[in-house]
Amino acid sequence: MKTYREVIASVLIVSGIILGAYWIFGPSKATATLLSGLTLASLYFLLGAGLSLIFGLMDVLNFAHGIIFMIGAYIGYTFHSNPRLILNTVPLFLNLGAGIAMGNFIKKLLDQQGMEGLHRRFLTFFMLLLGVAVLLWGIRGFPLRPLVAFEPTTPGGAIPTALAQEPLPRMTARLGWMSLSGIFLGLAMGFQRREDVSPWKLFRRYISYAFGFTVAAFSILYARDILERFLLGLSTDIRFLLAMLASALVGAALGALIETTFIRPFYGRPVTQIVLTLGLMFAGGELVKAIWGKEGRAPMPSLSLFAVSCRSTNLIAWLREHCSSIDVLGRAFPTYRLFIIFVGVLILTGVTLLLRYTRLGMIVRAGVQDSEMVEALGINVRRVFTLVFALGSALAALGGVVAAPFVGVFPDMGGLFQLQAFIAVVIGGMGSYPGTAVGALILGLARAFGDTLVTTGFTFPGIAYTWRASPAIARASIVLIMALVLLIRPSGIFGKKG
Amino acid sequence: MEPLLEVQDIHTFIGQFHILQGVSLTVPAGSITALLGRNGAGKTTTLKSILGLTPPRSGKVIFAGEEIQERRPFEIAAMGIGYVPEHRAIFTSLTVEENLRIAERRKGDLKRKADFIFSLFPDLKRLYKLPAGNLSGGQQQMLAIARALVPDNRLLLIDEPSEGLAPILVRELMEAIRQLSSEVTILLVDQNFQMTSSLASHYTLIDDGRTVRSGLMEELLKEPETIRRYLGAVV
Repeated sequence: MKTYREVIASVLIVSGIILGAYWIFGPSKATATLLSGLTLASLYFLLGAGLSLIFGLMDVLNFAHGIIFMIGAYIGYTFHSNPRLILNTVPLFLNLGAGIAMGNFIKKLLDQQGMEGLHRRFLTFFMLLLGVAVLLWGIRGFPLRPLVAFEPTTPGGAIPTALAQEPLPRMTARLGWMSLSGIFLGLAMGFQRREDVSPWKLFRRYISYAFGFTVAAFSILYARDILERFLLGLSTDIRFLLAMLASALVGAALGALIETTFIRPFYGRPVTQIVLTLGLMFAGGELVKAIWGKEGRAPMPSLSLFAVSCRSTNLIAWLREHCSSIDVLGRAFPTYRLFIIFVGVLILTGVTLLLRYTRLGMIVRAGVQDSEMVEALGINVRRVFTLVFALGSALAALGGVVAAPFVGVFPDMGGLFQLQAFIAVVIGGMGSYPGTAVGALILGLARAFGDTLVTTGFTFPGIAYTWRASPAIARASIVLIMALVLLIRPSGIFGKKG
Repeated sequence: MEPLLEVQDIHTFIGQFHILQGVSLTVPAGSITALLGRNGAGKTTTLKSILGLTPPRSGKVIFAGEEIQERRPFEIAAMGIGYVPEHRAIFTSLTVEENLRIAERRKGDLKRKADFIFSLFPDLKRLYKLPAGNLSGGQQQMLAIARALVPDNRLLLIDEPSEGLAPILVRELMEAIRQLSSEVTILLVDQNFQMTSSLASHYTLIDDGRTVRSGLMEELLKEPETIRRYLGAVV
């Protein structure tokens, strides 16, 4: 069977790296190397899973994926240490969304009255312009800088300085502008067929969104001080978990937004899609720099489970002592990295179960093979596309938060990790979910192996010569592995032939 | 008889190619209608245009009294049209069961139809839990048809079911399609004229993307000259 060959090949490669590590570095250093490798593999997987699913199902090479990862990290970090920024900006987005829902509703009504044809294109363009203008007018002078420029709070402490927060009436006015802008943008959203649905049904469909978003926006805004005190009063652990949830949600929302606005109109035109996601990658990177600044931040404080600076002798002792590092065969290993591995394994299992046992998973697996046929069965594949895009983006954003206490946050992290994730996906086979997991594992291990080789070197047995790999070689070795795999199997380990 | 499906003068482009240049056909309810024509005449594109996979640029498609030419494929399919594409596009990485289950439009569809499906294609029962990629060509074809039977479809579009099958399997397949026709209306495309002419009661003949003629199959069989000219087949 073909699948067995792929599994055997993966097992051989992985065990080859592991055995090599033990032979070269000895047991204690090799184990630490492997754990580091698993940590990296976990992050590559969180990023690569979405890339692979999106490519497999929609044939879209999503270069904006790394940006979602980075935004996830920044949002999580900000939510954790300065919820004020989030509490002041989220209502703006919510009201924009409410406006768009309203605009869509009006547009559908107009369409039903026969507002099609000639003036429609002109109207669309004009509305888009108007919407953007109102949006810019609405956010002019928003005190973003003071809201962002803060000293990181000590875990559990209050926000130190009096950060400029706009008075409520001023913010309320902004919300109004956002709604108005949203209505124009919603009117501008073209490309939709007319629908023969009763106005009452349309009303319920769109207005419930508009109403819900507006209510949520105003409640968050008017309760912002209470919420802030509440959030800062929570233990850092709960805040960390909430930060994970928040950035996964933001990631999902961003993913859905990107799919519906930039990808959906261009199915069947892959070059346009690639160029668009590339554009988003650059624009998103600049946006992050514009909001949070060019400099990175020190690693984000993580859970109290990993907070005490000491070294536990084993896992059970660590559960009692909450040390920041643990003894691995005589070597200290940061316990937070075990958490990263844990999250990676959790998501791997979760998504595997989702793909294997749910109807959505079944549709995704079928769609990877032939999405047209899935549609021909009466399934709204576009909706599944949006869902999978949102899900993949949520995983990437989650990966970002989880990475933040490990590597910190910096404006290049998106591109760096995206490149690695791409290589992992290519090694595993584009579009294959198990392939991505294996690719991430191989890449993570190889990377850690190379890094250890840089720091300790390899003493040839018999002769007194230690060869120390240069960091450049360690980095290049990954591309070397990719080249080797692709030479033997041009479509990756689990890739389909051809 | 009220036609279940009516296609009126559709024009379909694929890229810049004007593939269908005026195809019209009617499918009376409760019948098997054969869509005949040479290779490349536009038979497959006609089926795809009905389903909205290659939406027609002009013309009308009327199914059960409703115009559907502007709807999305999933909406059209959900109105009760089952599609059995050529090259039996089953999902090879899914099991036989999943291939059937994915076609459910309401919960319990498969449960209700399982007995009927297994009575038509007993093999599928034995292979139920296997990956569909392990099935033989004939079994995959049975599965592709069975998949279209899971939801309550009123019309089946069947494209080249006998392609690449051994003669004995073709006979089995014909028998299955004949049994089906008592339950559901069928629009059938097949190169095997022997098969289509013995199954179908009506026909539409297209050539170079245009409808040439249509009518009752028994009348077409009286015109060997037409058959030879447009199909290259000898009766």
